Amino acid sequence: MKKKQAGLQRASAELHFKDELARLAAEDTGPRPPGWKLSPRAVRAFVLGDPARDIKPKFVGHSAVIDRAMVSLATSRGLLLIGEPGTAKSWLSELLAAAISGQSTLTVQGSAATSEDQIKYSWNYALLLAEGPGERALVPGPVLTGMREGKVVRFEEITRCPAEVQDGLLSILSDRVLTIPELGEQGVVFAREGFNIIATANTRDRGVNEMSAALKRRFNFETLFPIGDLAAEIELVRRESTRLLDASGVKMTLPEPVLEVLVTTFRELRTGVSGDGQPVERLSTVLSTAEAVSVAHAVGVRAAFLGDGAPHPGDVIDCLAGAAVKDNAEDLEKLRRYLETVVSKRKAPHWAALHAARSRL
Amino acid sequence: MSGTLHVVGVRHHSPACARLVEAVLARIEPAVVLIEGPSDWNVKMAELALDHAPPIAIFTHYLTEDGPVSSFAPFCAFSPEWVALRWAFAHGKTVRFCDLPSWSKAFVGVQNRYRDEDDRYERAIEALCRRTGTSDLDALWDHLFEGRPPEELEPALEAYFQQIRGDAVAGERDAPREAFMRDYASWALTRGDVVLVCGGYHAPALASITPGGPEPIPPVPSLGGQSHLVPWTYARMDAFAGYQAGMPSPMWWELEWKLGAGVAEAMLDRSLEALRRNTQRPTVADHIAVRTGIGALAALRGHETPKRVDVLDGLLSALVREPLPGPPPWSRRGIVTGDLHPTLATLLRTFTGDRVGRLSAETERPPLLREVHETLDRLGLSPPRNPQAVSLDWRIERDRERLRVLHRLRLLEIPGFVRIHGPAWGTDARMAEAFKLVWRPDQDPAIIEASRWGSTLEGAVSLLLSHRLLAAESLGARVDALGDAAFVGLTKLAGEILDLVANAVAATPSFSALGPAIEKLLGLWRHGEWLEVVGAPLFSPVLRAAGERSLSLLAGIQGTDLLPADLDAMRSLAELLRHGEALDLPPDDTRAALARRVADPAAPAMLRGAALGAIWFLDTEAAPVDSAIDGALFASSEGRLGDYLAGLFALARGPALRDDRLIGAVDAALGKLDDNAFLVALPALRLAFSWFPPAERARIGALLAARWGKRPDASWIGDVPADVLQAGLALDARVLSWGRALGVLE
Repeated sequence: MKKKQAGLQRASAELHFKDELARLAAEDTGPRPPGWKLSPRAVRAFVLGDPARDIKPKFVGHSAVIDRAMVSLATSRGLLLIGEPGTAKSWLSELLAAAISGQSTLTVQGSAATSEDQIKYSWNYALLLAEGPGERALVPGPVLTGMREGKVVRFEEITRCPAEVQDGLLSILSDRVLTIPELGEQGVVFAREGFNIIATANTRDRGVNEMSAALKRRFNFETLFPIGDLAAEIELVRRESTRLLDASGVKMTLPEPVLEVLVTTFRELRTGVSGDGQPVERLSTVLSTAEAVSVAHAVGVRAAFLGDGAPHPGDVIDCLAGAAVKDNAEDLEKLRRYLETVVSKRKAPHWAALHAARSRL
Repeated sequence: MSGTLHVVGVRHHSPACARLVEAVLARIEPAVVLIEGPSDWNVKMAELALDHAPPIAIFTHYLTEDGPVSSFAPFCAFSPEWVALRWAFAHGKTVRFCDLPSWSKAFVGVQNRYRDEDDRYERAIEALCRRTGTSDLDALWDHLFEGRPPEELEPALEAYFQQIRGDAVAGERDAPREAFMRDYASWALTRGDVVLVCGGYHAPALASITPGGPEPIPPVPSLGGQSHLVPWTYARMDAFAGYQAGMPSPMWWELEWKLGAGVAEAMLDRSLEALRRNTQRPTVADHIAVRTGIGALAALRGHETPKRVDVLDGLLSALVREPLPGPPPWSRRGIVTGDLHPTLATLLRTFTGDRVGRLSAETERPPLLREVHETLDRLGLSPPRNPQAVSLDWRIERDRERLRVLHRLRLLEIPGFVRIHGPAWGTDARMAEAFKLVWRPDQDPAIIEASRWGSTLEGAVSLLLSHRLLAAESLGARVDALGDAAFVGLTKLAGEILDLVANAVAATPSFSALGPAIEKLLGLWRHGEWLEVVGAPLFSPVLRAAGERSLSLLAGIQGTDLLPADLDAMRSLAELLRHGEALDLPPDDTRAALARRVADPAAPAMLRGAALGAIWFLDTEAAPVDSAIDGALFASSEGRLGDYLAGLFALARGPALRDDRLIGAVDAALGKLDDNAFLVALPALRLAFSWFPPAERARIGALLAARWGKRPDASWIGDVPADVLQAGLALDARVLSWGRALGVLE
């Protein structure tokens, strides 16, 4: 996994972690659900990491979350990952698909413009006109491919699709069959073993309440939450920001005080409670760990290209405003009050530096 | 003769450990069974051998400098400690609790003796959880130990406890406890073989003990303390619900204890049944999905039969089709906070179970419980099975004792005695009350637990209220506590308590805050006849302190304005000072204090007027109207005539009218004001004259008319044309509406 895929901005999980997947597959002796490339225990080791086998942790969360998710995928229901923005729903779905099917690219990106043919299949109209409906003219969508090859299909932001498009999944999930009427008798495609759907949905967008009850019944829900543990979150932000900085050509790991200030600030403004139990005004924007990673990345890039090369706690202020204050002017005021009331009481030098930089807001 | 010591380290409330204890006892057949538990109970051990139905607990209460403290040692049918006790009783063997009593320093801050002590070895647990892929101690414990037969369990547990204790030396809490247990073991060994059942953390420290020595004597509580048996409930036992509890989901463990591997099936049935009752209807498809999911999770986690978290995870995954408000409670230890999804709430309640323990009828009942039952019987207030409303009235003499008893139970928070309505204060106009009485299973336990406050009803409320008075953080809270004291019929409390409360009142920083306190307490002290507290010594020290403090704060009020609340406080103070002699506030001193403010040009004009008004109020005969005229003229010269009069009339409008010269002087002073100054003075003047009722205002009118050589006449108002009056009213309305719109008026 150390080898960088030349020229790619971002490699898919199965490419990026190719070596780890190969190693896990070679050592894997556990029973596998039909159609799976790895046993569930190996998938768990892949996602959560296993220091004994030098498998890096990739997702911070309870093992029970992964267990429940895998069991959903191995049984007859789809898996729906829900949570606030930035709780690593898409990342987890990519990791699961890569580990279970060896492929995470059978993906439908849900949006208001998503239509049924983008999900199931469409036609090459030149061939359709020339030859009539047939296998050659058929352009399979991710779901049809997944069913034929017995692979996990990812459906991102499913609740952003129109309800009638979502409901196109009903017969696929319950009967595991897709009918292409134009192909006549050959047009009935039964899903091979290993096929299933991982959908993600965002609780801040249009909620899952807008899903039809019939479709909800065909999914098992798994709610993902922001990382509960400060040390784990700092560690994740350190690791990911270092990786992103490396990709931006900056060889640097943010210093501990900067990371602590950044992650603590994000957590306190997200949860509404300071580390010592004082109430803090929550911002209307979602301050996810992913957002903290991108702020950490920005702080590093600024320091390397525009600053003196070393990031300071005060630099967090400059990048924080953009991340924390989006479309709500009150958030800026809340942020100022947070700096004045909570941060001002902390005497450690890095906190004092953050407080001293408040005028840059 | 001396025997061998077998230490069985257990986790409290673990059925696997209970089975292990059973097996060890059967194998060794010891002469003495020692159990980690409160050794002060040993003298009452026979009581524990009666025919109780667990869960029950030993409830210990004792006094400290900071008030009463209580703690519990709960037992359920599957507690290793309970199993050991039953074995010893059944086989007629010597059995002793071998740990320090709860009042020992080692237990400061501990509410549950049999809580989990994992905070001591958090890191070792964390590492084990990571290695086994379990989320917390409960899941780890279940994964490693529950369901394993005793012969496998014994060495596994020994290794486990050795590993988590590591080389840790007992801390200042554990060291004296472990020393005490060693002493006990040393004594017991002189009588034969010994089995000692204790928390696994202590087990490694109890090896290699030399026999000898007398039976240790438990230390006695320095300020008094006792232990009693109380019925316990699974709800209180559950870690999800409580504080410092042990293993979560007691009903799961009870079924595990009874059914072994069949627990998952039995619990699943109960859960689905509970969901059906709650109309969260699982369909057949759901049922299939739940079962498949549970089986798959158990297989994935390497469990031969599904464990507790497998069943919970399977139910969650297949049944909940909404985002959760927070991670499921079984994914981390501790009290459940915040919202729970309704399906999860139902599931967790089912896993907790609703079992309530029962004590044998022969159990010794603590004096407070006896007294409460006798009193309720005598007064016809024994709570019935079906709720019953009781209407009572303080004005009816024979109702008063019943009301007092009900209020005492209310203060002690005994469930089943709910006040539906009643007066908020002992001097309200309506003194009728209604209570709802109903029997509840937690009633007797609550009464036993209330014995921590005292062994008689009066003693208990008296200590409770003393504690509330001392702990109160505001004057209002102290006044309310005294008000409650009146409702429960306490006319006095220990002198030193009242002195401390008086000292706290004497530190009140604000003059206006003392007003309502004085008004309420003085009301009870003077007019509390329905509560029979008129002149009660309960109130005098506090009233005296409030009076003294008011006078000293009054001396320091500076500036130009006085708030309406200050004026109210001044009226309350004057009312209080009227009873100065009875309250030991020397009238001459208070008079002098008021007079100093009257003559103080730095005092606000309204205060000067009010202080003079207070002097008149206290001594209506000697109304030195000249000083009032001087004061009014001086205030007028500062442009504060209205303020001065508002203060004066608020306290002494009667004496002010006794001599016409005052109104005359005011009239003259007003005549000298130019239009602008008059308009400025007008609001305060309106306030000043608003203290007079209409009849007295008419008298003032007549007086002025006489001065001006006119006859008072109703047509004075009639002289004003109706359209002018209407325009004036419309202007008033507009001003008010602007004021409200701009936020300057309420």
